[in-house]
Amino acid sequence: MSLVKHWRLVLLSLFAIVALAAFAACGDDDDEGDDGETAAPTSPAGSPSGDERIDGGELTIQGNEFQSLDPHFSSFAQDISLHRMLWRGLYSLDMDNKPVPAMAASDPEVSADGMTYTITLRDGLKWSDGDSLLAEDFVAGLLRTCNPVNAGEYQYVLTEVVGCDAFYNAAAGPDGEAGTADDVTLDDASLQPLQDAVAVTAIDDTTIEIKLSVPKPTFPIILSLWMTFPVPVHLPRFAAATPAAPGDWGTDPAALAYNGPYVMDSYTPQLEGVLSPNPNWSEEYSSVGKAPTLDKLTVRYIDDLSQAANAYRNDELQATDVDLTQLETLRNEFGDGQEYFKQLAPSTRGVEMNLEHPPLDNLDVRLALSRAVDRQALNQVVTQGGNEPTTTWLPEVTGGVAPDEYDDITGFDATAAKKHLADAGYPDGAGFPTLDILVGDSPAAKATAQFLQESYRTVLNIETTITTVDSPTRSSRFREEQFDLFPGGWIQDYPDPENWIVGLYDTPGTLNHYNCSDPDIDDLVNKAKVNTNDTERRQQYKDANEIISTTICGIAPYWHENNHWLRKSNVVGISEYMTGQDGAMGGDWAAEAWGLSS
Amino acid sequence: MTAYVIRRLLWMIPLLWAVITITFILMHSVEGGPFDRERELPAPVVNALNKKYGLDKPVFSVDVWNSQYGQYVGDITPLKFDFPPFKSPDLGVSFRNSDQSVADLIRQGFWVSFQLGVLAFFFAVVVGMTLGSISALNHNGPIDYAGVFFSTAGASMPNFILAAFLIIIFSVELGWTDVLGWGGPAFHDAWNPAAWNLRKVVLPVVALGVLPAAYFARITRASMLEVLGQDYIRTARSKGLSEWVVIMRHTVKNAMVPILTVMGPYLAYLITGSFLIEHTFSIPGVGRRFVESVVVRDYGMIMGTIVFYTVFIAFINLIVDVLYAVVDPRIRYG
Repeated sequence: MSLVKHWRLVLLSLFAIVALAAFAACGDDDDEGDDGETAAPTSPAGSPSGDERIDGGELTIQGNEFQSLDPHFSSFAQDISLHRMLWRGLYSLDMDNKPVPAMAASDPEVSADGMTYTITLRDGLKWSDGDSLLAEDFVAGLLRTCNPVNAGEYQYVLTEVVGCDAFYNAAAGPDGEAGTADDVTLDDASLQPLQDAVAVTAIDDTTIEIKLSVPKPTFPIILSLWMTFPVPVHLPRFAAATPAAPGDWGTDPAALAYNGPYVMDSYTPQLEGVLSPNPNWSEEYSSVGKAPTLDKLTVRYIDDLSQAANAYRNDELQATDVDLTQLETLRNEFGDGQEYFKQLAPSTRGVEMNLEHPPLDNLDVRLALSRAVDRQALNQVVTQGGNEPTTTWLPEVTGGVAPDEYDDITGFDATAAKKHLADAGYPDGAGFPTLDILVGDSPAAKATAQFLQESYRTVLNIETTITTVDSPTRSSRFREEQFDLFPGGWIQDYPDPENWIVGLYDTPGTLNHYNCSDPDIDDLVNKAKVNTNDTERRQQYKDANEIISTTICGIAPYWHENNHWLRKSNVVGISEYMTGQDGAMGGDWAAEAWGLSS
Repeated sequence: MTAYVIRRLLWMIPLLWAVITITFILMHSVEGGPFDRERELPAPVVNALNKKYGLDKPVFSVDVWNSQYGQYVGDITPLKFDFPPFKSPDLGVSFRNSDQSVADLIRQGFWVSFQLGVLAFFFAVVVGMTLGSISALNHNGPIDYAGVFFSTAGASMPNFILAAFLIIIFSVELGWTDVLGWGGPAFHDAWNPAAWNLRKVVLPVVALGVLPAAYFARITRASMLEVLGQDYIRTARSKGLSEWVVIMRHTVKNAMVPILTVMGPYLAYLITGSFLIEHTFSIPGVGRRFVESVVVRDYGMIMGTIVFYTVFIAFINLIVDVLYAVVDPRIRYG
């Protein structure tokens, strides 16, 4: 009844504005050229190859607005996506997630003890403004990330660089707590000695030396990440930088210089960023051997993905992320493998459990809760089958195991779940305390919590409550360990198993809020962290993953996430270069390979 | 009148102080902070960020100027203990937008929201008052019923639902309009007709303007009907004045006071930005920015926008009160 009524209302309203809209249709379309609107797709269904790119063309994609242009500060996915288009580091990751030289001339020279890295730059490197790109620019980038005044959010990945932690932690004073009496005043006098003690040095214009406090086999991967990108120190604002005033990166594209495949021509807050090719970029620097062919790349900042899909239909966008609530519709409309694509993301989500809250300290209880959840059904109900159900924490692609590897131990089995609960002393749920599920206020998060609640009720005959809070409150309570059950997870920073284990599941881990404490995991982590034998250390992390996943040491994984994209048939590079490194759009880690086929 | 205006302006000072204080208390009472994210930041990072943005100080303190509250009040007060004793108010920086100045972000967003709001307001006034007047003049006739239907329907349909329907029909199906962005000119180009892109303007304006149009139509109809029943209208007609003069000079003008009363707040409401419309059409307005700032606990942006809204709405109310006196000579301010 109400739908019928609404349609009448809509038709009446529409009638009143038809004339206005028709008038608008006759008006100028100033943005038509700017938007890079495309003709109807001309390629046959299927993926065009990377060789089909034509010179020129304009590509407009959906994105989210960056929080900061400063690569030494930011931690958001959309920021990192943009940073990699505009700047590049000493190394880049290739399609197989292996570091290959980007601005560096070759692999690093590593000392026998594995703690000193010497890197030589390519000859003739230039910033987009023509100035020489030198070793001191990279040194400045590393120092900027270690600088407490800049407060870089990813400083912790440089923790093994000698002096970086001491420099960064200066703000909080000797007790490590900000806001207390011993806080250090961040002036040049106090910071200069700390900065000088960071063991990153420009030996000459093309040689950089970095000293680590312990061997770190993954350090070349770290040197491909955004927080190590160079600083254009020849620009006045950075030339005058001091430790207490490291220079404001700002948001004025014209006031910056770039060494990535693109330069930023303009930025309009909340609307768009417009990029064009960097004239001083060479395909030699690219891990996929490409240079940009587009004349213009526009990233439109769109929060509402359902409207992004409409804009895609209206040819205002040529590529967009997909709203999971419309997944089935869009997949059918645009064709799986034709304009719709998905890519396994390096992300695992599951039910996180606070092991200090009884009875979650009991392994049988955790196994019962894990085995009571039908992951296939959960995935279908909440995401229209958009993700990959799993029982392993560490994804196979990052050195883990197949998603169903531990199904027999922790996967859905109602009978086994009941038995585990009975073994824990709660036959048919009798006497089981009421646990709380802490969840964010998004529709998908609430649907997940309701599914879990219903699963526990029907399979185990136990009651749970659901507490719904907004995102900052949820994060705050997780950090304070004020939760029993917490649907959450992890997205990797870099493609190595250490990023999935260290700090998260070792007993002293700063992000180990589930209070997982297992001496076998600790032992494996302590060995793997400094093991320079790559095969051995990967096996050690794999073994740690087995313990985590089969003992539910903090999380009962339920799926690996997928990224879902739409792209027009004449857009090249998005579907071809989709990997787990994608930030905000398929293939954006190597956006120099994007182009148009016609 | 001048004394009244000056008095009202001076009253804005304690008003502003009260709003700042209450907002500050509420903002910091809410659980979670600007650095509580889905992806947890390590403690040293949070420490450094707190230091960077001055959040390592206590929120309130006996040592007022060494607290976050005292610092903020001091920053936005256009006075200083120095010579000259005046300075520009500083609204601070946005924690979540590249440390951009809050004042700049509001200025950029407000210009877009202002254009959208003013156009939606004019749409609402023209459509609403026309429809309401026609309804009143055809009381209990088919046209009246049609007008009442529109005003009831327009008032009951959420604007984001209407926006979605408009997009599907006029953008996706017919291709007459764009889905994304705003087609208004930059400030320096405001008077250049060629700078407008109507493909991007019409739908957001209509989607935002239908609800107030429906409301204005109802108020106009009711007010007109009341005035049309007054003795002086009967007198005017009995004097032989033409119906046009009776309607335009005696009815519409006298029916304006209650309409003006709701127009002021509605204008302020429309101009200060509609989150839903700006979100749906990806319009870079201040409403979208404000709601996002609340969601992510961007303290600088929350405070700056509240201060701006307070001053703006106080001015709008003052203007409306002054207009009362212009429209109705019986109203006098001492």
